[in-house]
Amino acid sequence: MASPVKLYQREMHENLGFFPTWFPGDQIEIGDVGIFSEGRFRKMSSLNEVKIPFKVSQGVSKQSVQYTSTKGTSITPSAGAAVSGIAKVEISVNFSHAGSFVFHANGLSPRQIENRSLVAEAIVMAYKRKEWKKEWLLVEALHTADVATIIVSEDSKAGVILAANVDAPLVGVYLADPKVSLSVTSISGKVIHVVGAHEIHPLYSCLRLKDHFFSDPSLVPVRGIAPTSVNAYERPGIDELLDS
Amino acid sequence: MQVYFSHSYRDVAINSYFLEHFVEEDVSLLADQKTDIWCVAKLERYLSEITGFVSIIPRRPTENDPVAYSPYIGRELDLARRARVPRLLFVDEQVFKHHRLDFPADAVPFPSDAPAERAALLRKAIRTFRTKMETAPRFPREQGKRATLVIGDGKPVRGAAQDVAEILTREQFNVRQLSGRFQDRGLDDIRLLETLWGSELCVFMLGERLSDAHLALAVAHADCIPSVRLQYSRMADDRKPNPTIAGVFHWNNAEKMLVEFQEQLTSYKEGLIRPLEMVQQSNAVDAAQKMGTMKWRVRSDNLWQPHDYPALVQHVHPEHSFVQDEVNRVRLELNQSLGQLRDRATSMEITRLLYHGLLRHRLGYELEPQTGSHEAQQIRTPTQIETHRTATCLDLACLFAALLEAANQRALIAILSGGNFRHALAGYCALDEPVWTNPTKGDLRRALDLGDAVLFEATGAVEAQQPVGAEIQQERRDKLLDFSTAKAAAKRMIYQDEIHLDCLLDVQSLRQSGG
Repeated sequence: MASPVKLYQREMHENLGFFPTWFPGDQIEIGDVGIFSEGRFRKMSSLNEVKIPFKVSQGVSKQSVQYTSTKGTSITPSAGAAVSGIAKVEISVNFSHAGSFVFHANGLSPRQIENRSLVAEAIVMAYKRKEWKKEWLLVEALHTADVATIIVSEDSKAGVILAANVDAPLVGVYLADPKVSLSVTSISGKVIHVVGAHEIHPLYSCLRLKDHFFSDPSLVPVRGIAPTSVNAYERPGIDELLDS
Repeated sequence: MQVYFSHSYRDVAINSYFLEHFVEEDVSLLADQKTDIWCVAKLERYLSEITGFVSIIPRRPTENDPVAYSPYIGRELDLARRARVPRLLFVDEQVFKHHRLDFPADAVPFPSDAPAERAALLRKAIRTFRTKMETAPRFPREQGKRATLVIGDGKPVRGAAQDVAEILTREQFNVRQLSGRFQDRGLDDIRLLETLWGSELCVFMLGERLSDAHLALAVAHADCIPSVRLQYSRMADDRKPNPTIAGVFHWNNAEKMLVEFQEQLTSYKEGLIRPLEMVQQSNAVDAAQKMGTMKWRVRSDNLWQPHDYPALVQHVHPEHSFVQDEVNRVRLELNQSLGQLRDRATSMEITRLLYHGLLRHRLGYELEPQTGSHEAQQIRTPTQIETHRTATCLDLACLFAALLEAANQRALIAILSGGNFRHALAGYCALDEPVWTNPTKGDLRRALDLGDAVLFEATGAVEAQQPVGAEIQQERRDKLLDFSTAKAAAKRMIYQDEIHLDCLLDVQSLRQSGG
């Protein structure tokens, strides 16, 4: 049976297509280079360290994401949360399955390496200088959240009680509302959590250069419509992360 | 009392509105099922057999005329006027205002966007029309099972005439052939006129030079005698549409002409459908939709087994001239070779230009036609889409894939399902994006989020009365979506909770793998 963390990572990847950062508060950066190990991205180097220049494009829009595991999660505000004049409310997050989770992020915006083709050529050169390993993965895109709350249950029965300072009635329960200050008051069972964290990178995606590019001694810059750059990379799948 | 119902197939809402009025007034309508065969002889035949003619004429904007109307409806109206049958015309008031002289003085204008505002007036017009038909005498022409074959000048015409006569004979017609000069009497040749009058069907085989056969056709045309018009022309290949709206089929290859002639005969002999009975069996909207779903000649290369996703690539035809013409137009507009343009901004611009290019054709959307089999779906080729002027979501997804492939882009077709529907979207993958292996909905969402792929609502480029995908009614302006709205609608659909990605087809990758 898959571990709770794997269930979380698979469900997030199947729905959003990004790898969820594990642990959720880990600071992965764009241009980081590493490998998958035990379900985590482990940094080994970076484009900067290998002295490969790259450009980053910043997404123009910010979005909110509220994602909850398909089963085993309930979020319940205390009585009176929707009434004005209540300054402090409690929110109970309960899990009835291992791997159940809550992922709420506000102000989520993407960044991405822009000049992939040039970077691919530079990576091949670095490989020839023995400064790059074939198996290395490159973090080519990630999301930054202004505020995020991520809670993953590692037990079949677990819960977190959050305290929220609010200056207006709660409409719905959004655990990444920048106007609401959240803190953990109690935990039952085993959970991994970041609550109300600012400027974290909860989602990322990776590329890896295809193996045959390293073995091709005659790699030439892209000319005309030759699809060299098109096929330069491959994407690791979620199973690769989960089986690492 | 049988009334021919002339209408624009794609204006389902307007048609269903009027159908309800005709149901109320118990006016029995006959309509032609939408097909890919334009058979003027069939219309002429029915105009000689019916009691009345009703036409609903909505606006059909073109690139040059925002208040134009369908030339095919215009032709039906001309034929009805020529046949002098009692008629009732409801014309969009904007069309009527700008093209007043195209219509007889008794036409009734109506507001397309709110016909109910004039419900009382429209109902009264229908009632008056019904009364008129109930009392007007009609003298249907006497017809036997006789066909008159009028053969014009020229060796190719004379050479093919015996084959045409043979086809008529096999269809149980007694064939009378007329050729040469008609005794120099021209329009005074009363025996010619009586021969034409006495025919159930006339077939005119016209040579390139004006001849007595042309004169005989003029006589038949003026009297609305059912006629098939076959015009030999060395330039036939350039003729679009063919047959023309006037019903003339231009040919320079006898074999192709005989195929078309056989199809015209088949269409000629087909019956009309009864919209009012269809309304009574279901409802007016359903009846209008069924009438507007084209019945067309399906070839084996149109069929696709719905779960054989790699086989979809066989329905992507970048080599068709319609596709090549559209791509050449974009190439000229960008003034660059498309193969040299590899960045994402240019991919987007090429796609936008292709999309807007298709918009200007003002094609129509229709639901998938019935194949009679759950195991096969019909997909039109680009040439058929251009000819039929209508397409389904899958036809359009394959057409856009062909356009994008011909423009050196990495075309994508996404097949989605959810609840009780399936839908196809078109798009492309950025040229620097790796090839995906077994992509999931999540992969697609990520790619759309980062601009690694772009999908759009392909049906946004054709006219649809109602939302087809995840767009909302207000987003369809003049029945169309602009490109950015088409992209937003596609993304909205991909992000729906219940949506399932059945297949994401990367055309280039499939071609390379021999798919």
